[in-house]
Amino acid sequence: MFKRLRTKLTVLYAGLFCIVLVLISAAAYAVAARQAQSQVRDQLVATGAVFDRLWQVRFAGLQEGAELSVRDYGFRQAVATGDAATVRSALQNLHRRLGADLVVLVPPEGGAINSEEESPLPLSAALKTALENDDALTGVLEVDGVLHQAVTAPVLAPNLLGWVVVGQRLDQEEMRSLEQLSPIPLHAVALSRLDGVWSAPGERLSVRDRGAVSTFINRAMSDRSARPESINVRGGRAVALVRPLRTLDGSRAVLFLSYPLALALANYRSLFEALIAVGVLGLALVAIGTWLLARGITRPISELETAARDLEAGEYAPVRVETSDEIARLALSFNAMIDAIKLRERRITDLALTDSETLLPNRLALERRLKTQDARDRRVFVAAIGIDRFEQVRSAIGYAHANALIARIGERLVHLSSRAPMGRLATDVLGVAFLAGDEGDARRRIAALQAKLEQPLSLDGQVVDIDVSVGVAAVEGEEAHVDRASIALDQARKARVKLAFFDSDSYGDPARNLSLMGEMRRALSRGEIRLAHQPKLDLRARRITGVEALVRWTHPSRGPLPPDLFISMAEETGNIRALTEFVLHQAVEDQSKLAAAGWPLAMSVNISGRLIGDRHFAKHAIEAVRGARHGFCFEITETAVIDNPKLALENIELFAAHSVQISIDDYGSGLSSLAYLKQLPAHELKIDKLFIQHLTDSKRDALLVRSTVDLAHGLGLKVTAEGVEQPACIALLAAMGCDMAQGYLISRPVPVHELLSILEDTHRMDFLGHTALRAGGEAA
Amino acid sequence: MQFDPFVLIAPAGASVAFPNYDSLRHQVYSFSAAGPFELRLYGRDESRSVSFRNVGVIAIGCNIHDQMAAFIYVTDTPFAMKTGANGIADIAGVPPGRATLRVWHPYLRAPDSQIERPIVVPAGAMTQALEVGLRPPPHRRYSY
Repeated sequence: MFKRLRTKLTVLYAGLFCIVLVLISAAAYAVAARQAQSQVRDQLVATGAVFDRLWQVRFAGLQEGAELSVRDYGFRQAVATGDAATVRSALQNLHRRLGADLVVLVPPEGGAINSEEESPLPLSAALKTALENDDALTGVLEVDGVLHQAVTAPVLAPNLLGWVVVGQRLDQEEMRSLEQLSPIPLHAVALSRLDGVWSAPGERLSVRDRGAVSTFINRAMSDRSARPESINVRGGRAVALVRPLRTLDGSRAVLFLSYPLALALANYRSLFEALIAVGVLGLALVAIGTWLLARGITRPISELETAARDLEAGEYAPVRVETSDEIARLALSFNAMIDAIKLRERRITDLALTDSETLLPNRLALERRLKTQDARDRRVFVAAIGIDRFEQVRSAIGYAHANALIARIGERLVHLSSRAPMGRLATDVLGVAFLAGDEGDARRRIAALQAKLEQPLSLDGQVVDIDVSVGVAAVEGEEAHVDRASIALDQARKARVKLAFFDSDSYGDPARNLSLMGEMRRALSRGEIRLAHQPKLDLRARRITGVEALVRWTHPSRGPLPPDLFISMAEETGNIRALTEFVLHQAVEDQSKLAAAGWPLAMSVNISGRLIGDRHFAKHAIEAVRGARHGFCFEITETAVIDNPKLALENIELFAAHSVQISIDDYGSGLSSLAYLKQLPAHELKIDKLFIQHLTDSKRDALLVRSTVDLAHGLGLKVTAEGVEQPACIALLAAMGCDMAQGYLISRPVPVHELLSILEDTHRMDFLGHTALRAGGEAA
Repeated sequence: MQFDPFVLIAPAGASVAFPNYDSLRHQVYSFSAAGPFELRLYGRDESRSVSFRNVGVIAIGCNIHDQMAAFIYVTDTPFAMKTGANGIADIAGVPPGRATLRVWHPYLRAPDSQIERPIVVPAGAMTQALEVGLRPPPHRRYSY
């Protein structure tokens, strides 16, 4: 409801105060009203009694006058004579003498003679009857619509000559003079009942009041109540008292005394005024006081809230503390919390930028500092310094010492190029940024650095030799410089050089290559991937006896893709199985085509090391080549067996059991373990082209090849030489007793229809056959 | 103090004496139309006489003492009689034939305090009963 605590408190307290004030006022009013009413009642009763007394006195006065008058001898004589003029003049005389408003003679036979000459007064028969029963009456009499206080007296001579009625008008003036005799300023009115309604001639009662007054009087009359009661009339509530008046003629009349309550309450007005004044003042004080108090409470809270918001936004603004209450303590705690958070955040930042093992800056720290590097007129380079043989060194000296070693090298780096941004990039790689004029300058600087870094280090008294390779990348644009330096390091190591600059051409575009795998399935179905067959020349039979099926992918937009690229990608991404199965089926198909053309050749297919341990693949492969018309050979590298020797050997034995020959591919380029040579149930050994290419020039290579051929033959394996490019080479191989030769000299890998034309090129075949024969002859 | 008798029947033309036996003086008067008179104050053992020629009721009062009242019924018939306290009057010697019976009392509830009734007087005796109402005498209500 209220958004601010201050408003809420102020409204609450002010509201409570108001309620209390209203209750007090109501109670005071109720008490005052009751008090006033009871006072008014008492006064009315008292005044009623006074009125009665006054009434009696006035009657007595009237009566005395009337009695004296009617006993006047002359008056009686005048009446007795019966002369109207005389009688009237006598009445006029009486009228003057008594000072009365009404002087009437009522003869026993009825009618009335008044002092005026005009019409006789319409006195009622009821009055006459009453007079006959009692000729000395006192009471109210209505004459001509005007109430009179009247008395009667008989005129006796001594027989009854009539009655004299003497009356005083009860008009407003008369009532006012009556009212003035009362101790309280009440309102008195004499009312008579006419046609069921109580009314006072001359008294201006509104219709509403007349009704209310009539009801009130009727009730009071029926209750015979002499107690004042409340009545609602125009101008508010009043307390009223009804006193019945005796009438001369038996009709009904009352004296109605009323006193407006407002007048009674007027005495209390000053009390209420004081109460209101005190209330308003109190309310203002409460509101101001509460507001000030609430502000005192809420201002520090608001400041805390603002500070908390700032903290949320990452701004550390401490809160001002002015007091020493709970909120102040909260603010102090808050400030302490801010300090703690600041400290912790700094530590987290430090940790995030520090290598925990060596306490050197880490890669992130280096990258951050690179962003702020100012090169001016020179260029910024990043060098990734890799410690060679780190794994061996680590296993030799232990983890702790290895970390210490890195730390020492890092210190050395800092020492050599102080203030240069540096950081540990990987377990055995440190990075450093430096400025150089151009690549040549950079190369010279790195070389100098390398020389200094490679000085032997002493760890716990042990001297450790250090070799480092360095990859360098220029800092250009927003590229990932550190990544490129690391790649340059990989490239240096691969090329077995001490220093390499990042070569984007040889690195290619890994992300783009990755998308190739998504395209491979489509490529397989659309025929973008095909087989190319490289013939194998049987050096003894001097003819082509087999082919090696190789896979080629002509990408619609990128053209022919290097097989190394997509095959290794397929191996890494798990697509190699689909690719190999495609090759197997295609090879079986091509073998049938060749056979149909009159060339029953053995077919060799390369099986990736990733698949050789796969039992499901093995079964599928056997199934695929089951229908082959001629011999099938799976070429496997030795290293393929190393990962999971047990499963690999089982599968290889399974192949052999199903008449699939096994060939050991690229022999000599890998580990060329004799142990595996012993275990593998192979039929063929293919010597890597590394040994063949320089066979004719290098006696060493020739010796190695000859020994290998002898070794293979000794184990019962046939030997195939790869990479044969020169006729001299083929002759030499034949002389060494090598069984088969494969290479560009014989044929590059070609599609099956091209292969057929080569096979049918008798001239070429003869040339090859003669070359082998000549060599064989020489050797022999 | 009071007149005595309260009611007196007098033949027309008769003179009525008003002797004063009280030790104080009285002023006797009458405003009655049949024979108004006024006797100036006269004292003890004095007497005044008034003759009434006209037939009618003479109401007599004393101007000094209001409670004193008496009535003289002046009539020209010889057959008039005042009843006793029991209300019975025995009139003898009335010749038979048509006649008018009049009953009067100062406080009789009737016009002129008198009831008239035509009767036929038989040769012998007759009894005529009349019921009348009386007003309270005014004097009794005076108490001052």
